Amino acid sequence: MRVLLLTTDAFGGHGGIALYNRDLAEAVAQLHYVTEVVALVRNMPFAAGIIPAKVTFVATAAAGKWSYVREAFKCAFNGSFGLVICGHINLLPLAALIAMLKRAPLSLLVYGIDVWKPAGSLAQRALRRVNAVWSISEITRDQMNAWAKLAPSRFSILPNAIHLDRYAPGPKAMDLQERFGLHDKKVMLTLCRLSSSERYKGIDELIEVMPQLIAEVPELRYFVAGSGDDLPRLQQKVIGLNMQHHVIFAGFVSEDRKADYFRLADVFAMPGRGEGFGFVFLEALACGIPCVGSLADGSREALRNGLLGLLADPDDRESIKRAVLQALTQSKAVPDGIRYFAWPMFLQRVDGAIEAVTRDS
Amino acid sequence: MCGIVGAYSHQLSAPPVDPSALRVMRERMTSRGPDGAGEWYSEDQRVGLLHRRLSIIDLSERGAQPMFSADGRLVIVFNGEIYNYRELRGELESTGCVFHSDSDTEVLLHLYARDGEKMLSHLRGMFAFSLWDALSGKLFLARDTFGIKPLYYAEQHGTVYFASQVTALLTADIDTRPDPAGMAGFLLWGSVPEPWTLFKGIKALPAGHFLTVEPGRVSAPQPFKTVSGILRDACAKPATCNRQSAVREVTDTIRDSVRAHHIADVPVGVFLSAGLDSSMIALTTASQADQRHDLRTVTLGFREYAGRDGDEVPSAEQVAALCHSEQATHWVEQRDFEDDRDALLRAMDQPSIDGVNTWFVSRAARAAGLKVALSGLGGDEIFASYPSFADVPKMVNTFRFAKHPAWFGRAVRQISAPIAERFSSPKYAGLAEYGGTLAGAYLLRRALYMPWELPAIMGKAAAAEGLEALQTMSCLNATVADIPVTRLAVSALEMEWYMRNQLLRDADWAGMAHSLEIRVPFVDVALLERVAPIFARYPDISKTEVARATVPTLPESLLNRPKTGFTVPVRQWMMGAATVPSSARGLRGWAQFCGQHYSAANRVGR
Repeated sequence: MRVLLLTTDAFGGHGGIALYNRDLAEAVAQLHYVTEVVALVRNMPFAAGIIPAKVTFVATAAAGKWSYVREAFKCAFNGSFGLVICGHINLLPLAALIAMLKRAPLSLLVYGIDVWKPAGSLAQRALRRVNAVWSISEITRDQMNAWAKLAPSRFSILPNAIHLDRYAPGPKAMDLQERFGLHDKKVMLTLCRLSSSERYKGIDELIEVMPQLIAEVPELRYFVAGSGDDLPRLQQKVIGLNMQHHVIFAGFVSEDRKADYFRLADVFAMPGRGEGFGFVFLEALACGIPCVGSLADGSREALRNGLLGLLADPDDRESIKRAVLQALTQSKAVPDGIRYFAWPMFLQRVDGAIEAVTRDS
Repeated sequence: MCGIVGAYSHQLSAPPVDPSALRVMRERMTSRGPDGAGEWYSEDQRVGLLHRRLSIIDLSERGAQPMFSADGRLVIVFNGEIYNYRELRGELESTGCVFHSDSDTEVLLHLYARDGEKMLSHLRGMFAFSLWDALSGKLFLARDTFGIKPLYYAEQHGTVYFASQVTALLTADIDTRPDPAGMAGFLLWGSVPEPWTLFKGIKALPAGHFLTVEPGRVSAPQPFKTVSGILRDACAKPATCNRQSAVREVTDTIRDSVRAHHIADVPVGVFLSAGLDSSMIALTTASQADQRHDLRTVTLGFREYAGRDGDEVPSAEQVAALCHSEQATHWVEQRDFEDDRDALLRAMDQPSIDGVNTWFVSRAARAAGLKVALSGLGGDEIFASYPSFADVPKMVNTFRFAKHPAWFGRAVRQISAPIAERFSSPKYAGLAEYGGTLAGAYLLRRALYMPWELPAIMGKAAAAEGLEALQTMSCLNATVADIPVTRLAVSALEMEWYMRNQLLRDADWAGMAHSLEIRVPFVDVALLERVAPIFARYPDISKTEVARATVPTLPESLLNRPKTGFTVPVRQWMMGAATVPSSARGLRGWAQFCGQHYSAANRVGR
């Protein structure tokens, strides 16, 4: 079977959706009955990197909107496809047209805030053509279905995969400790984009709780890693609370040093409201770092409803404080339950989801 | 009394079930079944069924669970007793079915193979079971009509979990966020009304319902027989016999139910409080020749009442003497409660303002060597002996005028609430708003807190969300819909609300904590189906009249004794160490304490 993957971000992309789609393409390609995965992306800010076996990556599709459409049709009419996967709801009208022309079943991937509000009318009409919706979390499914009103049986949950071999617990990197003055300090870490359009991450709440936290743990430092246009506002907020000696902004973190940043932490916290899943929690856990997520968003599922980490109510500062303090008492270890998201499980889920959609169609 | 647990990864994209996680869930229920444990997984590891056993019928290994049909197609885990299993087995054997054990569990397998979902209408008993059908790839969950046995379920990422206890499911990877509907329900009633629990992801399978899980699909719960349905049918077709025959029929039905509830391969005792319900059960048992020789009765006595008016013990011992039973009287006092309080709170599967008496009498029964005891629970509901049977209709007649317009009652409540709260019970403020209908009057009668009080306790948003989800008045109205006979309408309310959510739940967790199976002869489908048409025709037949006819040896002094049940000086004991607002009167304070303690204590490992 050949599979057509139409997505916005994957190889050569940055961020959660890109990572997810790279994993998905690789997983689909590993299935023995799949002969080829043809993958197109809209955005490619970096070099594509290593392309997995059986994946044909059409880099020229990233040259612009019309290039993408042209390449998509070109691929579509070059042989048959057993499945079309639409990697973003914005691409659904195009994907639905191609699936209809090729008489192939169509799966739609949904992640988080991309579908928490109703889609445009064209995309909503195209939804009728979708055979299956693959959601990274139940909260995304439920938020989407509040407006989409699809039969629950059309949804499969395919949470992120974590390659456990790419992470591990380890000592705190001396150079980073030196650079950020973190020797002999307890470190609470948040690692994310600091975008003004993503103020749901819980950073404001954690900054506001810092005075109470340092009253109990004076050596605590809140280490915010990541860059974005919201940084100046957050810096002002810290100064306003007189926490500038306790809150450190690290700036952009490169992929190759991400694990070191995690290992600097004694707790990873991001008690927000808008995560579709929160892959970053899996990364932190894989480095053995205790985590504090949120009851109100997909991080609850990333932490397996509290089995892998603590859950706080982002509207309740006391709840956040209690969770962080409790996490600081936990020892560092990779929890066994993280295997639920390990690569072999992801492969199984993808296999099952493809079987379900091709059988049902 | 056993414990069942299991999971089905019905969506192809869901990972296989995790045996170690399921075992943890099962072991949370060890006290439900200390006699053995079993488990089974499908070859593809997508289904797991586990069981903890309390051996009562067929004590041999052949009665162990999970149990399999001979062809291997069906696997079952079952909690409960099927009292007509011998008759059903006879029918099945006559059609060629071959049995390998003497258990009632095996009867369920054969019945399902023959009738599928329709098997449920043949069952007389208390049950919660899960049956896997390998041929259809379907998991079938079912629960008895009264809800005597509990069954909870949850779904996460394409896997359905089920268990006999909420606290077992809490160890699984499911949504355990607090559910405002569960907490609002608890504050309204003093127990969590089904199908809600305190946790968003966990629901109770409604009583008298079943559900199926098939690949990619979980059905909504489907009713097969409900209490209000039986009472509705009884009103539609009341008995036609004369009153004398009617009373005789009730008497015969009680005797039949008591006999049926004695089926066991272990001794069966009787909780004896000297109230009419337990006296009827004990004396009926004693009169049935085959039960007489090993009758054991257990009574709870409270030191605080010894020798005073509230002391049950002399009357209970008088009844025990009439029964020639082996009587065990167990005395408790405040110190016993204080010693047991933490264990009692931990044992509550969901918070409850009651159950203390059942805890102690169950402990006493187990200490007396019993695994099974009959309780008079349900007698007040079926024989209309609660004060509510008089109070509720009276309230309706008095306040019927205030029903319309709806704003009038609300306005009266809003004006009078501060006064009522200050000088008497806050509930008085609701008389005009709620008192004019059976449903509203019942809420006023039974509620711990009224809906308008919840925002101050829970917070406005949580209370609004909880009350919106509960739809209490709609659900109460649905209970009494099309039941024109007032006595049966109030019976429906008491059976489907107070008895189901409070008394039966308390009997389960308190009995389970001591590995004791509590059976309830007055909570029986066959009994209800036979007597309801009689009470539809003769709603004035009282419990005293029934008791006089059923157990004529019971002295008049005991027939006319004021109702006590196992009265416990609970309020004083419970408030002993509770830290509650001074505005919380009596059991309200205990409820707030209990709710807070439960929420903190039962968050297993999170």
